[in-house]
Amino acid sequence: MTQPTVGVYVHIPFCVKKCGYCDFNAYSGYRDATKARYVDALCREIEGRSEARTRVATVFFGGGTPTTLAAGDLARVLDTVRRSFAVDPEAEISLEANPSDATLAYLSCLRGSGFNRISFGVQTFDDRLLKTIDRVHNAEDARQAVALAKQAGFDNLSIDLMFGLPRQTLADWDRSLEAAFALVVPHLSMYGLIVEEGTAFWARRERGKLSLPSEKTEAAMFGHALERAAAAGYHRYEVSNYALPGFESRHNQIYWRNEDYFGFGAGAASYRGGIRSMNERLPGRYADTVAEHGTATVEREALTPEEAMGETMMVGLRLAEGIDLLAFERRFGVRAEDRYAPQIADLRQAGLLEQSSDRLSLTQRGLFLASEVMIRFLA
Amino acid sequence: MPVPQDRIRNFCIIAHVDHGKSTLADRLLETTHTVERRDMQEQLLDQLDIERERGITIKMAAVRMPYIADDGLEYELNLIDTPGHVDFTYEVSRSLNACEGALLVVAAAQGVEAQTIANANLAMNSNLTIIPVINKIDLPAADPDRVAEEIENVLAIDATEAIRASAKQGIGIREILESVVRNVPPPVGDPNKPLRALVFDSHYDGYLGVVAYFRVVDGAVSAGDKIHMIATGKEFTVDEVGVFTPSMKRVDQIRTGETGYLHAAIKSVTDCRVGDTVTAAGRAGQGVEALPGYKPAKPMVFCGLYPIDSAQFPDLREALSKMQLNDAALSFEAESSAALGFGFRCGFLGLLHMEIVQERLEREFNLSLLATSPSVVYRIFRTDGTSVDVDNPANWVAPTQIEHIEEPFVDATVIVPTDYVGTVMEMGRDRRAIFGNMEYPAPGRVMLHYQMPLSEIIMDFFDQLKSRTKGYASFDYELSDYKPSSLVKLDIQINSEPVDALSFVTHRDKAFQRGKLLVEKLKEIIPRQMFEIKLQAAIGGKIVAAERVSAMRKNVIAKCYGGDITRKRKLLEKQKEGKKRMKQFGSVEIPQEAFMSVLKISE
Repeated sequence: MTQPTVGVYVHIPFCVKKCGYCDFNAYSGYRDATKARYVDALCREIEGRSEARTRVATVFFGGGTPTTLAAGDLARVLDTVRRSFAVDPEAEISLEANPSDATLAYLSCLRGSGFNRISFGVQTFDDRLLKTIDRVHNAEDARQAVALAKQAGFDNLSIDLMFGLPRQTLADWDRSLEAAFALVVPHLSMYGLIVEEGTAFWARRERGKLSLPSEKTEAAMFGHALERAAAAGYHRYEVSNYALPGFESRHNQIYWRNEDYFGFGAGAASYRGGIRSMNERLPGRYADTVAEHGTATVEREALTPEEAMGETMMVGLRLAEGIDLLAFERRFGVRAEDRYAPQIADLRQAGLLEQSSDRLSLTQRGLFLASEVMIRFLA
Repeated sequence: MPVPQDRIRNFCIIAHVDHGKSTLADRLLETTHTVERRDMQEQLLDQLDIERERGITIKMAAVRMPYIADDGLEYELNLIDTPGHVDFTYEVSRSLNACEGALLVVAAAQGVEAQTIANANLAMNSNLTIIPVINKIDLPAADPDRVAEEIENVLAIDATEAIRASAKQGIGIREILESVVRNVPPPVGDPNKPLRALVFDSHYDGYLGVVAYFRVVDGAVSAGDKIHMIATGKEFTVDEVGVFTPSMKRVDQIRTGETGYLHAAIKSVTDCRVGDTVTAAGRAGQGVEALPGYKPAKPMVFCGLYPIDSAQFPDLREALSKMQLNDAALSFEAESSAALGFGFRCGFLGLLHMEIVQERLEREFNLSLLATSPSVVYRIFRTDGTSVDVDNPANWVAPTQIEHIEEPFVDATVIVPTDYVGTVMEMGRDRRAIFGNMEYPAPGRVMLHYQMPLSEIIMDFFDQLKSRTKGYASFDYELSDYKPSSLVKLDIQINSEPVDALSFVTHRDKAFQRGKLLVEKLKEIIPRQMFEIKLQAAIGGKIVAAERVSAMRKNVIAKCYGGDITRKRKLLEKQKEGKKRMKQFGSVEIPQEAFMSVLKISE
């Protein structure tokens, strides 16, 4: 039997500017000295939690903005991962990048140090909207960045887009879609804006100063994304992710299959053997804690089988292929079809779920109302 | 050495809400050293949390205070606390009957309010000696001379010697105590006659059973005595008698003219009702006449209480039974609703009583409840000459069989500054009030008397009155009689199915408008769901208003990656928790507030 593989996530919590919609653990305004201390701490944490025999199939540098760090620092952290774990030779090694940080030299350096997948936070090709959502780049930067990444040898490329942005019209969204397809990248993530508590957008909405498209328009935008991406040859493999065949993000599928991963860095979560743990969120305090203790875990939660099953349903239904019913039964010793019989019957009846012999997945209608479906499998 | 009967004083404090009754009671306890200041839990007499939160006294307490007066003699002062709300008028009248005197507290800034008048009238009807106290004289807006004038004009009480006090600052407290000693007559019962005592309150204790608060009129009572309750006919052996100091303190005997408590393994307050007369069991008590005025508590306002989770039905039954042990005015019987399943139709003294019971059920028994809109008891006369009392619109009689309908009316009193007379008159018109007369108790203030349907009062009247008069209006009412009214039942349909729990009764002329407002309100309250929802109001099958809640088009969490899974799960769980608070009607989820929304349709 082959040894199971895990994913490794590395969090870089720094940004040039925090976007109004962002509720990730990200901060602007940190000095270089702090960043240097942070990189040291990251390496130390990775070494401290090393498992030389554990096979790693994917590594993902996310943020924040990983490209706020020097390419050498990113290479050093990646090397530390390689030295501490058994990283597969053909592992997927991704990083998120800000289009305005992209230079040929910088990107070539990253490619040379082993990163083989890059994802640009483009969000929209509309310069007016980019300003509205606090992005520091413009549409031309985005096009340039993609071209440079290709030139630097990244053939596995992704861009992020957002819809449902303040004052965005359906026509605006259509133009962004066309612009994205024109770049011929093999992977696209397209997110409907969610105004999260604690963000600047949330505060603006509370004050009545955020004018968002209607639910009807937003639904139409989602519909356009689905249709047009399909027409352009992309298949949607997750709620918000689209790929040309073979370019699905392997790392992110670990999350949606609810499998094990290590998370390093400030606020990063790990999931190993049914236990979810979380690191200290603040970068400075994270660095201090690691310097003192070698690790910075501040929360640890052992999921009950009930919770783990609920989460498996919640994340699994995000995948277009749906939940692998056999894998579910192997893992929990109970058939999802039995455990959730009434919910499944109801939701199939309502046309929100469909079931094949070994898969349970959202219908098209279920996709639009995914939260309503998932809620039924939670406590 | 007990003090002789002529040095006992039984008195109470009557006041409008917020005029400082509880603070004054605290000061009396302190000044008489019954409770030392450092032990003083703010406003000790209000025992229940809910009472304290709402600043309203519901349950009374009777505290014994030893007091050395200026004449150098020790007196026994019994302070009997009274509830300050119209729902509890009967309880007020019973506790007033246990007293010989009353402190009439009026705040120096606000002046006489509607409840002041109602309670002062009750006190005068009980022949109590009234000592006017003008409180809060320390406040900048205080105008004690004007208030004294008001007390004389409105209540016809001589206020020339009204004590000017500030309970908060401790001003005038000693004068009040001296005035009680000098002016309140001692009790006049006969210690040699057989026991005769008035039950003026009770509470239920899990270990002791009912603890009855009583006032001995004649004779005395001790532990071991066998007693007989005249109204309920029940007999018990007294386990213990005692007094409140304010904690319960056992004594050997409660003598003529004194107040105290007793417990006797009484299982329910329905066996020992407020207003009942206690006498000796057997021969000794034979021929003892009951004290006047006993009335079994009669619920005036009804609503359906349903568990959100139908599995909690037995728990709700048990909780209501337990509440009833302590609250004889609460009635309940099982009922079922097509929309809500199994629940109970509960009867209350009034709206406040209803809210308090509901809150206590949720808080103390951990139940999630859904309450339907309150209803009064309508009297429907059928064409065949029979009549029926209906406390639930779901049981309405078919229109063709109705000859005429009567509904309960109240005598209502509103006091407002002159500027708001127009507003009050307008509200009165809207609420079908029959104007009686208008008085001018003091410059700048008007007192209006109305007869109006109780059903209009339970429709959010008081809150509306308060908000439309910027809080200046005070209001009180008492039930008068039944009068004929032109009433219809309005049905609400959701996706063309009538929802019985949303039906309500309204005057024919307002049915159309109320139906329209209600469906509009429901449209706001009912969240979008996975399909369109049709809302209609109908009278006798004829649709009078309609609205639609359009279908939810999209509800997706866009991003869910590793670090986020727990948070997203908790987010969805929270949403689910919200849904659990809703009632499933067919496939439509209806939030609880929808069932109370009838109350909130402002015109």
